[in-house]
Amino acid sequence: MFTFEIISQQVLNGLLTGASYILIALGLTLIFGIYRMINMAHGAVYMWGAYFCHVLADSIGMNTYLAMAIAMVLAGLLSVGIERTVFRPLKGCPDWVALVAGLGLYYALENFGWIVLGPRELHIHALATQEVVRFWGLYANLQKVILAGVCLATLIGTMLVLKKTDMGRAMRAASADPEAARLVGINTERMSMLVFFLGGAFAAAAGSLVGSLTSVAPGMGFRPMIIAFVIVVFGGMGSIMGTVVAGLLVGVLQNILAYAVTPKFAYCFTMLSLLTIFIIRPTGIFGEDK
Amino acid sequence: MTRGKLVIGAVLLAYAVIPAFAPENIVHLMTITGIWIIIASGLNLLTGYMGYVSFGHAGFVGIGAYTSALLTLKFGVSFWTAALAASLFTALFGLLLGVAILRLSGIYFSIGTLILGEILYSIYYNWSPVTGGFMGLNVPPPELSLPLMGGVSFELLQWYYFIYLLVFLVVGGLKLLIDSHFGKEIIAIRENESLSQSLGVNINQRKSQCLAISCFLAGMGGALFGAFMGHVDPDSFSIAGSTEFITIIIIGGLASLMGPFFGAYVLITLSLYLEVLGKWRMVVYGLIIVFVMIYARGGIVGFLETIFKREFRK
Amino acid sequence: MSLLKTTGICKSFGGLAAISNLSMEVHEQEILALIGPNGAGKTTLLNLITNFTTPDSGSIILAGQDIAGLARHKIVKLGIARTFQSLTVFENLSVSDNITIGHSSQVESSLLDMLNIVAYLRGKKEHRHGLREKIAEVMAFVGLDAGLAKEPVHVLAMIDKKRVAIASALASGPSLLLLDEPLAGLNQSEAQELLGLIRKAKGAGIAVLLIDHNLEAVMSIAERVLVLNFGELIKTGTPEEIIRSKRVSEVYLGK
Repeated sequence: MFTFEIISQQVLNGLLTGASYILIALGLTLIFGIYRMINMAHGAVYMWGAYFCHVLADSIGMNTYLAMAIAMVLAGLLSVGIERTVFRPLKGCPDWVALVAGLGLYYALENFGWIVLGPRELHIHALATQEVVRFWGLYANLQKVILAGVCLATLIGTMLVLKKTDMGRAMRAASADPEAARLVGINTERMSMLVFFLGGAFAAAAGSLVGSLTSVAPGMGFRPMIIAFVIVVFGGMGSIMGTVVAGLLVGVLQNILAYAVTPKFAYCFTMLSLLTIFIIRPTGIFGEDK
Repeated sequence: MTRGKLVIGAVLLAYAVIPAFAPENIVHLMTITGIWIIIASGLNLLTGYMGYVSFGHAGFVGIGAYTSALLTLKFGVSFWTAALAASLFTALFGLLLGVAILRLSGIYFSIGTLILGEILYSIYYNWSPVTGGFMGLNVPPPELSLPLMGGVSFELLQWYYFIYLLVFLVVGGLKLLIDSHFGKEIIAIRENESLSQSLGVNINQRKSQCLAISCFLAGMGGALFGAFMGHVDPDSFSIAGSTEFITIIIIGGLASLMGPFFGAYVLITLSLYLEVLGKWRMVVYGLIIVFVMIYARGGIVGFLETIFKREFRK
Repeated sequence: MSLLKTTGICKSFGGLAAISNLSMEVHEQEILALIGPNGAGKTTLLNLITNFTTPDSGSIILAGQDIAGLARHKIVKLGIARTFQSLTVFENLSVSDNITIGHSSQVESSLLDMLNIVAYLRGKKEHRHGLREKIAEVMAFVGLDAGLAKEPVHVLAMIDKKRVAIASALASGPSLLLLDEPLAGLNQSEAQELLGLIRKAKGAGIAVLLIDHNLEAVMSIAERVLVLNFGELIKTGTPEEIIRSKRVSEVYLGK
């Protein structure tokens, strides 16, 4: 049961799954790092991003990747809208206020999704989902590889922006000390909008790609969002490196558990393991010690 | 003070006579609301008074519900014993869990309880041989044998009075608790844990005790809910349920004894009226939560405070 | 008589020694001042005594017991109370509530007691009455007007907030009171009032260990002075001896 080949396959699957989580978690980590708030509505943006992509790709018949790009922009705008209407008035409030508000908003958005999408199963048509690539004796679904590729590209892009551009440097400053950043003249408001926009866009990308592999449904965002949260916290809130490492770990863990134990309990056991580690080290792998 | 006692007396009287006038479905709803009040009061102790915001409370309710149901179903235990045992078991669970989870503070605690809630939901949903999976379990109605009257069948009316008897006992007990040193220390923990410690408060002990009491009440509520509805299934104990309890205490007013009352009735009424909206119900519900968080965080009691210019919350 | 004694305490933070081999003593009912430049380790010493941080080595003996690393609330029960460098009180709670919390360690209230309603109600009436008296007593002692009891602390002036902080600490019935920069932010007359309060505490049988940068004030009230520099105790003596000491001048007084 546990040959090297099988384990490697599961690890590979895990890494690919992890990629989708990282894409969602990246947005959350950026938002938290710079905005210092937890965005519980993120999962809804993920779902709506997938839906936009579906409408553009399947109903209108656009090229899937073009559809995805446009969906990313739309989702980014939705995310910005959420920031302006819900989160900005809550700046300065205790953390749990944003948490509850975010959850409420998530419900509103998911259930609006039930109204719009209905009970049908929607799909995003993409050729790559049908193909399987083979390398080093392992198999991988091409669409999943593309997903991982998008994730990697996004990560590299984000890192480059943060390290090399003025805006990126400003973001890092704001992340380290929001007050000081504002005093120095950095436009934190514009930065917040940018961060929310990116978060929404990344989520939409993840949603579209995952949606093309499985389906688009109103509730599709909840579990990935919870897992993304755990990853963000586990990796150290605001740390991109931590998010990546944690994301991959969780993906691998979930797949191995699904294989070794019954798939039904994979989610449960993954959460249990993470909760245990969380309790032992709440600030995460790369988080700052209090 | 006598005015306060008159008000309480009037309220108790009102509750006592309502079943005489109100249609059956209202009495039914009020009974469920009563169970909600018990659970919300427990959560209010942990979240409103002590400041530890728990997003997994429905999970604890589920522990009480399933434990009680299983004891009556599989072991033939009488409901009364089962409900008590379930409440104690949930409290014990909270106590043990607290050792680990109370080390987390603030947002980390909230996320931790969120994860916990998910884990418990997953167990309720997937551990079919024990919990009945997504179908759940059917719970037999309680039997009551009174010394002179013999067997009494537990109908809606009996449930109504029984639940509200418990509600007032619970609220009364909580009032004694809050007014005592325990209550002051709990509030101090919410305000500043570190300072509390340096003034001599044994915060670890208090936090555990508070969580245990909160879980006891959650378990009790769960056991009552299962027996009253005749059925337990996982969907009552998901994140949606946890969010509902949090919403109740926020809308009602955190850290006030009356808060859970107001909050629970508002929520039930909302559900009723929102029925009309059909599918839009949940959308509006979600938006109401957002609205309350932005504009009305003090809840109804907070609003009353501004009207009466008095402090009702701690 | 020795009340508290530290022997060979060492504490490092990430390779930097905050306290090196510190041995000192606090005598009963004395007013002891701890002075030294910023970063000398004064607050660290208080933190070590009250277990806000644990020593790497060494012992802290109180009444024959090593309290290093002992749970904070237990240290309070043993008779050590403190205030903080940045004024720390329960801003949103009333003055009497603040003092009540300070009194926690003196109250026997197990959960079982609280749920035992009859005994509780009987006990509570006595307790509440006793508590009200205690609060009034402490408030009078620190110079807080009795009418302020129900006021939330955040509306009070700085000097009164400081009184509340000290009152809460005193409510725990300490034999040793640790004050970290109590005079910060006070004007001349307010500082004098606070110094008077410290003398009153001594008169009531409480030893006071006090850190402050207002050297004139500190020297006027201290019976003994400890001088710290870079985590080491460089001189102990009376205020006159310290002022005269060349070594201390070099290090600290800058004369």
